[in-house]
Amino acid sequence: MPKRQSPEVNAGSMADIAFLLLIFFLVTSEMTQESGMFQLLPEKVADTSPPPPVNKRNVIEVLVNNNNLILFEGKLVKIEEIPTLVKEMILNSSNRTDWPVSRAVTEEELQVRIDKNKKVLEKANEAAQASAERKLKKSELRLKALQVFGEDFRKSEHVVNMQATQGAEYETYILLKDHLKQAYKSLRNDLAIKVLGRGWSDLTLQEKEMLKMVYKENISEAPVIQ
Amino acid sequence: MSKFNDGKKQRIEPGISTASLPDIVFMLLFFFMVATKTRENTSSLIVTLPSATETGKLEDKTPTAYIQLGVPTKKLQKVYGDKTSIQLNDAIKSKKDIRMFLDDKRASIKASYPDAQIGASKAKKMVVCLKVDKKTKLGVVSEVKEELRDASALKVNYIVNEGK
Repeated sequence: MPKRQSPEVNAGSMADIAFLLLIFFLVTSEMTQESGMFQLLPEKVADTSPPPPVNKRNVIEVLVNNNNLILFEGKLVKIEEIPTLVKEMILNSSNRTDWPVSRAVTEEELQVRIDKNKKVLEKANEAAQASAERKLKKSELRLKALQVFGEDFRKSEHVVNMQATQGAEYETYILLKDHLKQAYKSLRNDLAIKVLGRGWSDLTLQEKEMLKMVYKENISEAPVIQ
Repeated sequence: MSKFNDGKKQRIEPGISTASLPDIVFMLLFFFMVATKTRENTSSLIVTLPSATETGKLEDKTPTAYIQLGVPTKKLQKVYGDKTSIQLNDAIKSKKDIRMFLDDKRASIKASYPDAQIGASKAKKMVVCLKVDKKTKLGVVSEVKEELRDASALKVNYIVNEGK
């Protein structure tokens, strides 16, 4: 019997199969990455002891009411005014006694913190090592920030207290949050231009990190008012 | 031309070979498989996101859980009413189900890593993405946030449209 050549497999339909798969993936997947606003919720603690007292001058009150109107320190304001108002209060360049305390940061206090973190790192076991290392790096970066920004590195003791009533709309809440963040961004941007001569978008990651230390975001959210 | 071909057989143009077509298509296919992620879930709610400028993007491969808040679509309003509802995965659920949903999600994240320790740390990093309709009342949102705190899922990402 003559040896029969086995016929070659026809690969012509391979393309069709691949196309089918391709179209399936195109339909079931999405390319756009969602952007969002991140928030770390406060941990739930069991004890109901009253919170530590806060000096009233350090609190910046912002409230959204049921009619989606915004009260800033008890006064009705437009949302566009929020960044400027918050900036003024955080900087407190005129040293007003009813505005948040802002004091100069000294090299010694940062050094104390570095030494403390070094000791923690030495004692840390394997599990805690990574986080201790991160803390030490952060405190060292803070010292570097002081060297770069000098007397502009001030510690502000402000807390932005964001409150809303139950009937307020989510959109207003997000807008308000956005405008508060804009205040911080603008503060950082101003300092970057003043000291480094570049705007926020032209900075390196480390410089951004340092500016975030200089103007630390401190927004606290009070529970919704019934 | 014809004088060169005189007396010779007419040459037939060879067809374009399609043998490499599957390769090209497969390459496209792999590109899309890598560059995209599968759609999380279809929405049973009408969710119009608010806009904001100061936004960030989540790192790739961050484990996420999606919770949506909004009014049910017209078709589903007969069943669920027209009040603000909560959607977990594909179904409209109640507030009490959030905790179990998050626990399930964490368990499945943990199980998807062969190493138990890595799995546990990934589960801890889970971010809850809130897709909330902009007309939702804050009372409802804060109730959900309380549930999240109870379930100790503290990392929250409010999904918004970027820009004004």
